[in-house]
Amino acid sequence: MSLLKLDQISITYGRAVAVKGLSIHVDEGEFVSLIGHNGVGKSSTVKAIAGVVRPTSGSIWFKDRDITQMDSGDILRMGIAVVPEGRHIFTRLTVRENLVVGATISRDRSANLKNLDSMIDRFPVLGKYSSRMAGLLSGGEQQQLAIARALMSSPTMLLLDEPSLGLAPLIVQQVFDLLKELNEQGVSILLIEQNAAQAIIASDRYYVMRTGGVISTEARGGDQVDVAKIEADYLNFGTV
Amino acid sequence: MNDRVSAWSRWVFLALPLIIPLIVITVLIAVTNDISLVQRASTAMILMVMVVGLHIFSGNSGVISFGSVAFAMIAAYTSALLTIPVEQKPSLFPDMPGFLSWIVEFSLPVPAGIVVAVLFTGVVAVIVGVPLVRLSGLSAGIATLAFLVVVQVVVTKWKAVTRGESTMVGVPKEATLWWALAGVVLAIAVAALFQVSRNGRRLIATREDDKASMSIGISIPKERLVGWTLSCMVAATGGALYGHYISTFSATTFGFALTFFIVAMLVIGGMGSLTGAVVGVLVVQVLSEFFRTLETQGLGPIPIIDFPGLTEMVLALILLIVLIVRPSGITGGTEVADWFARRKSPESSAS
Repeated sequence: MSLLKLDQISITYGRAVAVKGLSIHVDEGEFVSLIGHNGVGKSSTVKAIAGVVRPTSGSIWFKDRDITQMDSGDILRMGIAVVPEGRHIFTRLTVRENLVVGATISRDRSANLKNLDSMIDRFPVLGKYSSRMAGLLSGGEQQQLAIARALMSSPTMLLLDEPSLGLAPLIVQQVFDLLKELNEQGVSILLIEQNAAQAIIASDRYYVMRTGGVISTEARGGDQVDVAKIEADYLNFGTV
Repeated sequence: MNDRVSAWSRWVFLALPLIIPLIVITVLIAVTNDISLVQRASTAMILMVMVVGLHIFSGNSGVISFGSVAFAMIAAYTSALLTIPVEQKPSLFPDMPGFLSWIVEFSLPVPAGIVVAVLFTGVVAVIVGVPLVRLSGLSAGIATLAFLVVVQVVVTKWKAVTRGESTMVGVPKEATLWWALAGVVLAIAVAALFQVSRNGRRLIATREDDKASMSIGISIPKERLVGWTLSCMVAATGGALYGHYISTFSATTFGFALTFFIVAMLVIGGMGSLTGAVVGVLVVQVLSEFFRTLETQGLGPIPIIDFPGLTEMVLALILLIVLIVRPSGITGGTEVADWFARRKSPESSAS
């Protein structure tokens, strides 16, 4: 049974079609990536799942409930946390404050503080700089903060929009390793990426999106995948 | 636990560096016993209450409001109506409409009048705020300005209750320098408390990045409404104090001129910080008193500069320069506490 299921989703902005008839699913505990070039509708897909834009047709299901028309706050409460593209941390709040506001949906103070402590355990760099303005962190540290902030709501599923954007390859590797580790601890992950090779290796399964959101490929990810071949395929799809 | 301790210490570091110098300055001014100096200081501090009030909403949400003076006006009139001595009321308000006739029959002590006026203004703020907080940018500016005009028109036209264009008289003149100081201390304490509170941090988060705050489940209208209401109530405190300080006022007292002054003070000081609100009032008030003195009586060896409107022109010029050269204001949106923090931890260079 799927945890998250997109059923024939279409998204249009005025007359422009961003996504057309997209169907994907993520099972419980799975690490799935959705890869594709610029402008194929990846970010629109993220926004639709997060409840920021409404699909024009199709439905989105999470934990067997139809969340297509739900507000973003309620979707978050149901357990989908989003790490938005470009990180969007609060640069002029301190690292600690960024984490504290991340726990907005929960009123349980002591649980939130416990959660905060566990984030600082998991991300030592955030503990080290906890009272520093978040804007002063390096790109990789900011990405860790964005992920930690999303985790503050104790989600069942993490939805990441291009976490590798603007990061050095070595840092990207660290971020993906972190995602893998989180996944092993039970968080389901849907990773939206342009950085195909690294995303595919990290994930259990992957989809390739083409212009208009049509799925071209669904395949198994993991270490044993022939990355060169995928990249060749991927490039072919991108240049249609 | 840790979080709560750090919030309290942040509150102390935020508020005390502003409150202590203000107390010291006030005591020094009181000691001089110079009437005109005491007057100027009292006015400045009452204005500061309103500016701090405006900062609570505009500074933390990043949404400009031109409406805070409207709430100051509502509170000033409410408190006046409640506190004018019973003997004078029938002659001042002969046409008081039936449903308000109870107002004529009693009179409250001034502090109680101020408290009731502030609470009443808070209720008005919630009602007006529900639609207003959904706006931002230019539309928020226009809508809040429109509200100011609405209140002005109501106050000028509702003669039976507000005495219309005639001046409100008979308002107990009880507010002094010490009342003004108490008002400022309270305003700063409340503003600082809000800034370190969970609601305050969420509102700042919406200012910093609205998309990210939505992604973590922050309701922007809800957080803005909390800040808006608190902001209007603090501005109302300033308005009520002002009423009891000058004791005769009319709708024009709380008009565009005062609005311009208050917004200019906040922008010049730095909208993003509480320190900016305080610094802005001090800088603008000292400068405008300086030029006003030049205009009317000359200063020591400097003769009278007979140039009506000099003060306003200089202020406008300063506002323009600040907007061009340093759009985030004199303080650049930082607090006194930040300056200390930066100096204390030299190892905190960006990595």
